[in-house]
Amino acid sequence: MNFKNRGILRALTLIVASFGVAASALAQTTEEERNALQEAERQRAIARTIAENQRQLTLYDSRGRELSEIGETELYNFPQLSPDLSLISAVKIDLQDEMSDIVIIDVETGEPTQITQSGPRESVGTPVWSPDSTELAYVALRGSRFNIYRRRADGTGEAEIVYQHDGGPIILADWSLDGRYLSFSASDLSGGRLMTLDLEGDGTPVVVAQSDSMMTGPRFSPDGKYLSFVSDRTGRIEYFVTPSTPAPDGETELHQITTEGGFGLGNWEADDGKFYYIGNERQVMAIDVGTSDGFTFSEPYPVFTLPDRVPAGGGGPLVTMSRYGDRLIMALPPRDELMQITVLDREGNEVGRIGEPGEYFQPSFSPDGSGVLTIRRDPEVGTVDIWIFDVESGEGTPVTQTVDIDEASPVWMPDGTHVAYSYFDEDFSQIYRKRADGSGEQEFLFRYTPGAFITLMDVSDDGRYLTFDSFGFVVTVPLTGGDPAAREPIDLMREEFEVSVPRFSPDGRHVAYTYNESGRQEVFVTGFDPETGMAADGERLKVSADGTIGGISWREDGRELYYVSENLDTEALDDVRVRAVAIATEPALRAEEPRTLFTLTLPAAGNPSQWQNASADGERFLFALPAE
Amino acid sequence: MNARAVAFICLASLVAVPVGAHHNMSAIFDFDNRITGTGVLTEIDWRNPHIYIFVDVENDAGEIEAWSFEGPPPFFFRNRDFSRTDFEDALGKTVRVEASRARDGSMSALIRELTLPDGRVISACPQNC
Repeated sequence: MNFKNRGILRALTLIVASFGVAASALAQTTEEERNALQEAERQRAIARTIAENQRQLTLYDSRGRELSEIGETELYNFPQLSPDLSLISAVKIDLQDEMSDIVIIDVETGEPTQITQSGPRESVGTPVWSPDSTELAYVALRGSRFNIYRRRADGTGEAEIVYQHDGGPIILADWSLDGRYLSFSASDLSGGRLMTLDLEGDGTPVVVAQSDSMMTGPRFSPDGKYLSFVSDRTGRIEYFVTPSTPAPDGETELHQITTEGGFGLGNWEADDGKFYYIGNERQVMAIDVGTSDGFTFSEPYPVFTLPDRVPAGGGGPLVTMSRYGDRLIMALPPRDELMQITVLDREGNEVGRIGEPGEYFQPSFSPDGSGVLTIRRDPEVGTVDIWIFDVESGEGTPVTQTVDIDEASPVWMPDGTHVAYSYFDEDFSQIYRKRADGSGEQEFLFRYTPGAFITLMDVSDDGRYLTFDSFGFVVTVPLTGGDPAAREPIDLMREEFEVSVPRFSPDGRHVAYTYNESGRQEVFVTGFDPETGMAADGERLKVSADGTIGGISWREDGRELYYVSENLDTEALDDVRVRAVAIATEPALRAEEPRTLFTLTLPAAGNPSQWQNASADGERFLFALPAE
Repeated sequence: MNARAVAFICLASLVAVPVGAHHNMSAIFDFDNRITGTGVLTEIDWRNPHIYIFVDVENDAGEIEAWSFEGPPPFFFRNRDFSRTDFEDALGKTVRVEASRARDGSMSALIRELTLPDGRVISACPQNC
C-alpha cells in the first residue's frame, strides 16, 4: 500500500478507534472524564487528518499548464469535470460524522453545491456525469446496501434508484456516450467483476467479465463497443480492453494495452481515437486506439508530465481527465515537505544531522548507535524502501529497492547486522529480514492471516520472538522451527479495548505497550513469558501520564523507558513532549513519575506510534524534522 | 492482489475503506450470499479484532442450528452507543441477524445488520458490507 494512503487509513482507524471508550473498574476516572478525554482525542485526530489531507482542486490544460485553482481546500476525492467543462463533481468527506457526499463546484466561481445528503456513517462514491452534463449517477451506501442513484446535477428533484446491490462494495466508473448504460465493478480482495446496467432495461446488470484478480474502472469506448478497465492480474496495475458485452461462447476477448503500469481510471478520448492514462512516472500517457474493425491499439507514448504536486506512483483518484481530453482536474494534496534526520540530546538540543534532506519516516538507531534505519520515499518516482544511514559519514544505503512493494515498519534485528520489515502483497501481510548493508536476498520470516494488515513493532533481544499489532490486539511469533511458513502467531494480548505498540524490554521479561481503556492511549508495562510467548500473569502497570502518541523505546539496561506524548499545554497539534520514566522490575514491577526531557514541534505527517526515537543508551533521540 | 491494487480500490471508492477490518472478509465470507436468521443469543466473545456472537437458529425442518456470527471490533459498537452490557443483557433472548455466509458452507457468517431483543438495530456497514 502506498505509504501516504496507508497513513490516511491509519489516521482514519485512529479516529474510529478513539471514538468509543466505555466505563471501566480499572480506570480511576468518571464516565464524564473519560468521555471528555475521548472527545478531545477524537477532535485532535480529525484536525490532524484534515491538515494532512485537504486538497485544492486545480484545473490544467491538455499540455499540463495550470489554468486555475477552483474553490477552497477541502477533503475532496475523485474530482470529475462535466463533459461541457462548466462543473466539477467531487466526493467531500466529513470526518465528524464519518460520511461523504457529492459536491458540485462551478468552474467559474468555485461555488460548491452539495447535492446528496448522507446520514452519519453513510457514504457516496465515484460519481459519473451523464454525457449531456445535466445528471450524475453515483453509488451510495444507505443502510446496509450499496445503491446506484441518478439525479440532476443542479440538485433539484429527487434521486432515482436505478440499481440496488445486495452484495459488497461497487464502484461506478462511466456513463456511456449514448446515455443508455452505466458501467461499474465489484472488486474486492477475492477478485472482481465488470458489469453494465441498461438504464432502459429491467434493472438487472450484465456481468461482462470476471476474474480472480482485481478488475475495476470499466470505461466505455466512444462507440460503446468496448470497455477499458484496470487489473492487477499481471502483478501490478495495468490497463486492459474487452468487449462491453459478454462473449456468447464464454471466451472473453481481452487486450492488455499497457505493460509498464499506471494509476487512475483510463480515459477514452471521444473524438480522435486515443486512450489516456497516467503512467507510473507521473506522465500522462496516450495510446492510439481503433474500434471500427475490431480493437486495435498502439504502443503507449508520453504526452506530458504532471506537476510535482501530484503524488508520484499514486493518487490516481485525485487526477481525472475531461471527456474530450482537453482538461485535467486534480485534487492536489499539500506539497510534500522534505525532512532532515536529526539527532537531539536529552535536553532537545540538536547535536547532529544524518544524510541529505528527503522524505523519511520513523528513523531508529542501530543497537550500537552507528547506523540509522528509516523508511525513505523517493519524491521523484514515489517508491518506498528501507534505507540505512551511517551516522558518522551520513552515507545512505538502500536495503530494499522495489518498485511495486512499499516496505513498512522496519525494525533492527538484535545483533544489528540485519533488519526486519513487513509489506502487504498477494493478499498477505508478510515479514522478511535482510542484511542491513542491503546485500543478499531477503529471508522470509512470517505470513499472517489473508487480508490482515499488521505493523511490525519489535524483535526480542534474544531473537526468539517478533511482535506486531493488528487492529487493536498484539501478537508474538516464535522465530523458531525450520519452516517459516509453519510459524503460528500467538496472542500476546487481546482485549476489549485497543492494545498496540508492543516493545520488549531488553531482558525479554517485560513488554511495554499502549492501551486506551481510560479514554486515551497510555503506556503500560507487563510481564512477558518467553516460554509461552504470551503476557505473563500479574500486574499491568501504567507508566505514562497524560497519554501517549507512541515512540516507545527502552534503554538498554531496561531501567528507563521513553515515549512521546502530545504537549497538552499548547493548542498546536504538533507540539509534543519526549518523556522518560524510570522502571524497576525487582523485587516488583514499579515506575516513577514520568519526566519531560524536552518539548518539540513536529510535522503532522507520519505515524508516531511506530517511532523508536531513543538510542540504546538513552542519550540521543532521532526525529525526522522539516529541513531548513 | 498487490498493495497498490488495494490502495487503488480504497481510494477509488472510499465507500470500501476497510477501517477496522482485520482479515480478508471477502475471501472468507460471500457478500453475495446474504442470509437472515432469528434465534436465541447463547454466547458472546467481546474482544478485538472482531466480536463473535453465537445464536441458536431454528431451520426450516424445525431443527436448532448453532450459528456463529462475526462482527466488527468492540470500538465499532462503542462508537454507536452499544456496549458489551447490551449484548450480555440479550443473552437467552431472541435476536435477528442479517449476514453474509461463510464461503466454506459452515454455520458461520459475517454480520451486516443486527436487531437486539429491544428492537434496536445495528448496521455493521460499511465495515462488513
